[in-house]
Amino acid sequence: MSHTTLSLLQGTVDLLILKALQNGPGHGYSVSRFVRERTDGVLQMEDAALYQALHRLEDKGWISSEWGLSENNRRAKYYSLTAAGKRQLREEVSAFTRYAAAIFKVIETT
Amino acid sequence: MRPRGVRRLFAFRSRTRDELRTDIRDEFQFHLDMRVDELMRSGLSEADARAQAAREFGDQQAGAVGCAQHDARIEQRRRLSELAGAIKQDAAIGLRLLGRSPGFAAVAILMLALGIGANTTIFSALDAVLLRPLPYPEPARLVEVFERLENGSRNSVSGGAYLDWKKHSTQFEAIAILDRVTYNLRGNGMPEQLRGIAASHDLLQVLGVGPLLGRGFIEEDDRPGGRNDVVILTEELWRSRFGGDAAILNTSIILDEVSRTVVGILPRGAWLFGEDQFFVPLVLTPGTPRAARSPHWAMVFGRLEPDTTIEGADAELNSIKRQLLSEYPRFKEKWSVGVRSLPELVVGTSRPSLLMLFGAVSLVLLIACANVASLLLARSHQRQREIALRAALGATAGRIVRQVLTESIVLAVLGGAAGLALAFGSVRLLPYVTELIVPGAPAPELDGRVLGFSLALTLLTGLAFGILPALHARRPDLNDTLKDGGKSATAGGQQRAQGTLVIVEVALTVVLLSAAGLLMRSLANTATSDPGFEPSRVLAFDVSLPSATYQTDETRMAFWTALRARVAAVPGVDHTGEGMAVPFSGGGFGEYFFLPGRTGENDVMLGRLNYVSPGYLEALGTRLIAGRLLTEADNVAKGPRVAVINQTAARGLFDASSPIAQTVVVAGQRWQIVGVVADVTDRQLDAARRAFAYVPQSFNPGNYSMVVRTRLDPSSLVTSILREIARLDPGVALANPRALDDAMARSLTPRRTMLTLVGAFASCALTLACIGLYGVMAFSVNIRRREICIRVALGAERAAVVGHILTHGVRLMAAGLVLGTAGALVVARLLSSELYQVSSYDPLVISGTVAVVGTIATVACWMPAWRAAGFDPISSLRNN
Repeated sequence: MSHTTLSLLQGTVDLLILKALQNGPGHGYSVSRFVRERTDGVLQMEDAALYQALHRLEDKGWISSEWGLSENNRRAKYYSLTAAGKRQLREEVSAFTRYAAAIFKVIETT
Repeated sequence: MRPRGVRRLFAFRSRTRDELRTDIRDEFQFHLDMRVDELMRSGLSEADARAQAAREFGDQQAGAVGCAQHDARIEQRRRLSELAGAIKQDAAIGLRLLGRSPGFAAVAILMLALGIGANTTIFSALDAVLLRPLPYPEPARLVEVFERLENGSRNSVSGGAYLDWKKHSTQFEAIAILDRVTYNLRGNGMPEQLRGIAASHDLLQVLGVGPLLGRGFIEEDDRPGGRNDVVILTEELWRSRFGGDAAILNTSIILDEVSRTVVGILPRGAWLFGEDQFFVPLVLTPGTPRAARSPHWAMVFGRLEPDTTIEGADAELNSIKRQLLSEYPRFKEKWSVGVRSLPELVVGTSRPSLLMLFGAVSLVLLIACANVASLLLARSHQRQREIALRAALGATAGRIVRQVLTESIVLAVLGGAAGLALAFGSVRLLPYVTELIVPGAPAPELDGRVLGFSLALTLLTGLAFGILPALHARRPDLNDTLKDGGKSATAGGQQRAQGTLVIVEVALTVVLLSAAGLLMRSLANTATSDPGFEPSRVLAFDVSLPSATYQTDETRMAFWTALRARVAAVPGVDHTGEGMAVPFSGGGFGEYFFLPGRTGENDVMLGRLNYVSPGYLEALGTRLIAGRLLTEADNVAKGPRVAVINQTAARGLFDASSPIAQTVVVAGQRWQIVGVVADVTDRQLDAARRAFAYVPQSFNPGNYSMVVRTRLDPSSLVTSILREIARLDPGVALANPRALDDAMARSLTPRRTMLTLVGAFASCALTLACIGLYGVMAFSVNIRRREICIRVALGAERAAVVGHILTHGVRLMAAGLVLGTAGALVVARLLSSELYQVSSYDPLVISGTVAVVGTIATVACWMPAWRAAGFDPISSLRNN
C-alpha cells in the first residue's frame, strides 16, 4: 500500500471528493472509505487534509452540508453536490482525462 | 439532500464561533470512531485501533484550523441567505394580507401615491433649477466680477476696470467682458430686432463651450482696428431664421446696417443667461469712454485657475485696484471689486420659491403618512389575535416587528410605484409651471437623481408609518388576547397613538393653510397696489437704432422727433412719448441723487434715472403732484438741464419744502426740478419704492421704448405704427409690442402660480387631515360600541353620549389647532421674503385658518358621534 505524495494529489483531491459524492450524500468517512476501496488501497488521503478539502469545497459552493444522524445513530455531517458542483465535476473529469492522455502519449512512445 | 433513512435534526439558527469549533471536533470524532469500529471489526484491539486511526488521520489541530477559516465564511453566507429568505417570505405574506383587504389597500396606496408622487415632482423641479450644475465644465470655477459701490452694492463694470483686471490678475484662466445689445436684423421683408451679446473673444473660453459649427472668437476679432465685423449665431436662431443650413458659414448678414460674416454657430443650451441669439465681438478702443474707468455698463465673467478660490481672487483684484488708485476717478475712491459664484447668481433668486414649494409638499406627505399609520394601527387592532398566535408559536419580538415593518414597506413600495407613475405624468406639465415661477429654467426630468430620491423617500415613508404599528405589535398580551378573542381589548395604546397622529395632522394643516392665506393676501395686496399710472389702453414697444446709420445725436433725435409726430397723427392716438425705462420692462440707469454740497452718507439716495421725451409721462397717465411735466422746449440739444422727480425722491431729499425750482445732482450733473409726479412702478408692483428722475431725451438719444395712449385696443395700432417706422427707416424694427395692462397682469403670474400650488397642497392637506380625523373617530366609536350601548341601556341620554364622544375629538382637534398656530407663526417668519405688505403674524389669516380648519374638523368628528347615538343597544349587545 503506497501513499502518493501530497503534492501530486493537490489538484485531484477535489476531483476525488466530487466523484465520491456523485451518487448521493455522504459523510467525510464515507468519502475516505470510497477512495480507499475504489483504488484498492493505492490511494489513501491523509484524513485531516481530506476534511480541510471538504470545507474548502463547501466554501466554494460546490458542495453543501447538513447535519444528520448516521446509520448507528451518531451525529454526522453529510455532504452533497450542488448544481455548480456537478458542473465542476464534469469539467475536472474532462480536464484530468485530457491531461492523463497527454502524459500517456509521452511515456508510451519509446 | 438528505440520505435515505436519516432523520433530520432541527436546523440550528446560527452558530457562534465556539459552536463551529465544536462542530468540527464532532465531525473529526465521528470519523475516528467509525475508523476504530472498522479496525476493531478486522481484529485489532481497541487501543491499537485508536492509535492507528489517529495516525492515519494526521494532524488534527492543523486540520481543525484549516476547516475553521472556511467555516466562518460559510456561516456568514448561510445567515444572509436565511435573512433574505425570511424577508421574501414576509413580503409575500404582506402582499397576500393586502390583497385580502383591498379597500384598505386602495385607500392607503392612493394616499401614499399622492404624497410620494407630488414630492417627486417638486423635487425634480428643485433638481433641475437648483441642484443640477450648469452644463459647463467645472462650473464651480465660474464667477462674475463686478465693481462695488461704497455701500457694498453691486454696480456694472467699466471698460477700464476690466482692462486692469485682465492685465494684472494672475488668478483667472480666462476673463471676458460682455454687454447686452439689440440689433436690427435685415432680411426679406420686415427687419427684426434681436437681442444679443457683445463680448470679448475669450467668452467661450470662460464658459468652456465649443462651437457646433465653424469657430469661436479669436484674438483678432476684438482687437481695435482689426476685423471686428464677425458674428456667431446661436443654434436656435440659425435653425429658426436661417433654416439650419450649414452654408451660412462665411456668408454675411446685416445687423444694424453693418454687414457681418457668420463665423460660427453656438450649440443649443450653451448660453443660459438670457434670450440672446447672437454674439459679436466687443471692441475696447483705448482712449474711448468705453475703455475708460467710468462709465459703467458691462458685465464680466471669469473662470478661475484650478486651485484658486473666490476669496483669493476677490482679495487680489481689490489689491490691484488699490495699487492703481491714482488712475481711478475721485468718486470711485472707496469703491471695491466683488467676485461671486456664477452658478449661485443663476440659482439664488429662485431658491426661496422652490424651497417653499418643497416644504409644502413635504408636509402633505407627512400628513398622508400619518393617515396610513393611523389606518395600520386600526388594522393591527383587528389583527391582534393573529399576532398573539404567532408569538405563542415561538416568533420572537424581533421577528414580529420585522414582519410588520416588511408589510409596511411593501405597502410603501406599491404606493411609491403608483406615485412614480403620477410623477411621470405631472413632470410633463411641470415646465409650464416652473417657467412661470422661474423663467428660463431648464426643463425638469425624471433622471437618476430624482428616481433615487423617490426610492429613498418611499423607503423612509414606509419606515415612518410602519414603525408605530410595528412597535405596538411587539408585545402582545398573549393570555388575554387569545382567551376571549381580543374583543374586549380596549386598544388603549392604539387610540393614544392615533390621537397623537391626529393632533400632528391638524397642526400641519394649519401651518400649510395659513401659509396659503399669507400668500393670498400678498397677492391681493400686490394686485391692488397703485402702479402710479394708468395701465389700460397703453401700447409699448421698443426700437433700437443701428449705430452705423445713426452716428450722431442729431440724427437720432431727428428720428425720434419725427416718429413721435407721425405716431401722434395715427387715428385713435391720444398721447405718445418715449422713455428708456418703461414700467414692467426694466431699463434706466442706477444713479446717486443728492443735493448740491450735501454728500454725506445720509444725504445720498440711490435711485434711477430715466431719459424721456415730452409726452411720455402724459401717455402713461402719471399723476402730476406739483409743477409741470417736460415739454418740447425742454427737449432740445444743449437745452436746459431740467428734471421731473417722483414723490419718493422729493420726500427723501426735501423734507417739507417744495422741490420746485431747486437743484438736484443726479449722475454727477445738476438738474433743476420743474415738477413732481406720483411714484410709477418700475419693474414690479411689489418692489421697494425708488427715487426716480425724468430728464429730457436730448441728453441721451439712443434706443428707446415708445408708449402710446389710445382710445382703441392697443394691439390694433401695431400695423399702423409699423408702417410709420418703415416710412422713416426700413432698416429699423419694431420689437416687443405689448399692452401695459397685460404686462402688469403678467408680472403677477409668479405669485399667482405659487399661490395656486401652495393652495392646492393646503387643500390636499385639509382633506387628508379630515379623513384622518374621521377615521380615528369612527375607530374609537367602533371600539367602544359595547360601552356606549351599555350606557344607553342603563339610561344615559343619547345627547350626553354623543357629547362625550364629540368632546374627545374636539379636544384632539383643539390641541392640533394650538400646536398648528405656533408652527404657523414660526413658518411665517421663514416666508417673510415672499410676503408683501402683510405681517407674518397677521391676525386675520391666523384666525381665518383656525376657523376653517376647526369648522371642517368638527364636522368630521361629529358624523361618527351622530352614528354612535343611533346604536340600538339591544341588538348591539346581543350580537356582541
